[in-house]
Amino acid sequence: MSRRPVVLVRPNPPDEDLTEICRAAGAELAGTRVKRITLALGDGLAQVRRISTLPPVSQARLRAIIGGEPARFVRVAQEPLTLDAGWLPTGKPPLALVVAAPTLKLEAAVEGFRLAGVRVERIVVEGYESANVDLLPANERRRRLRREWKLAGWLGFSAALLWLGLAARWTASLRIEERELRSRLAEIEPASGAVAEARHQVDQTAITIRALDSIGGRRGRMVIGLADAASGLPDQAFLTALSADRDSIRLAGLAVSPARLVERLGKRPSLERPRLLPPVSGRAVVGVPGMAPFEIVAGRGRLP
Amino acid sequence: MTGRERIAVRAGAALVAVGVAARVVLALAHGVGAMGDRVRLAREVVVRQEGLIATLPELERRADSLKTRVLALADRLVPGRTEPEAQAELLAQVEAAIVHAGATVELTDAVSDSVGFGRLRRVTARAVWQSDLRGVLSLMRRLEFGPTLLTVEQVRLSLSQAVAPGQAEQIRADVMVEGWYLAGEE
Repeated sequence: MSRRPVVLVRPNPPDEDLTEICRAAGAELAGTRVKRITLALGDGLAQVRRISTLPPVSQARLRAIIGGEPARFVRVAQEPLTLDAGWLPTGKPPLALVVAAPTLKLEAAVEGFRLAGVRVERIVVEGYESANVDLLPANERRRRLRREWKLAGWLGFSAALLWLGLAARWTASLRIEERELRSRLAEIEPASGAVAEARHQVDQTAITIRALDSIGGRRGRMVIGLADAASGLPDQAFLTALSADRDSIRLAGLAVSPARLVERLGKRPSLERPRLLPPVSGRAVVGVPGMAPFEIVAGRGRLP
Repeated sequence: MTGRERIAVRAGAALVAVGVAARVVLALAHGVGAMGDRVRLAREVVVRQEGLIATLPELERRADSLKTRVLALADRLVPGRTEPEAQAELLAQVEAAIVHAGATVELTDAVSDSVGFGRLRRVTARAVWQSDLRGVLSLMRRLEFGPTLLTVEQVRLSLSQAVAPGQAEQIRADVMVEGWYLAGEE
């Protein structure tokens, strides 16, 4: 509910000039900060009907029912009437309140207050101030609507202006910060370059040291490997060729039993999975009776 | 113009105005957003760079310490700052070792190589000589365990001639020797 002050108007005699009464009532408010009021109509100014036989419809529908056939609910004279209807907050079955007042009188009352510098925002009936009805004449309603639109427009414009102002301020602060950051970056660029160079040096040197350690670990592997393989050969075997690289070793020669030789070489740590390569001939070689040629290939084993 | 037409014209004009305003506001918002992103990025870069700069003394100390270690290891590398210098030095060392072992030099030749780790570069030489088995192994041991860090990576041994019983065998050794040098600053 609105907290607007309610001003009761009760003309006595009933035909007293309403504009004058309202202007006088408005003038009494001049000393206060009240500029907008709710006007309550006293006895004799408005017709009031309480109806319990209407279906429980929405307020808009109720207004349409009343406005469609006003004569069924209020006394209709020659002069135009302003009507409104609403449901009373209490009552079972639902109780409809229908109010009506002559439009000219309502306009006169509003005009009187306007002359005193007070705006009437709503017109109710004495005793039913809490009911959701409003007898403000149509032209006043239009005026109120225009005022509300204007206010909404100003509020929107002000909000947009405020937003633009804040955005401009933020943008300006961003620009300043960006300039400062660029200048700071330019300032620390030589130091950053020195860091990059130092990191490069450290990385390169670390790589060099790691590589040297790894090479040092491989040192002597070939000699030790060959010596170990040679020690695996029995006295009855002769080597005619040997080749080795980082991954494999190949031996060729003559032996009494190449198969036994492979088995024997398989026990050497320097050789991994030795095997005979085909073709293996069982023919005796001239000058070396009882010996067979062999060709053995093996992986390089891990030496302790 | 009737009231209805006036309302239609006003509504159309208002719609166009709202559209234009929305377009302008969106463009402005986009521009401001992009600038905000740029500033945030620049802020992060500055913070990161300042953090890195704070580690500079520590980095320099570490670089000096590592350099000292490398210099200590440099004596074990093939002398020379360029590939031709290092190749020449490697060939000289290999030939000297063969001659010292009393073997017959058949061939020494530089083999092109492009392997490297940082400033550490590899040079390779091929050497062919003839000797008995003991001489071959002794020479290979001399190469691999000498003062310079050399490794024998490929070996091919073959009998150079038929051997009579009781006669010392003559072996032809064909080996690839690898050494390392520290290239000069580029």
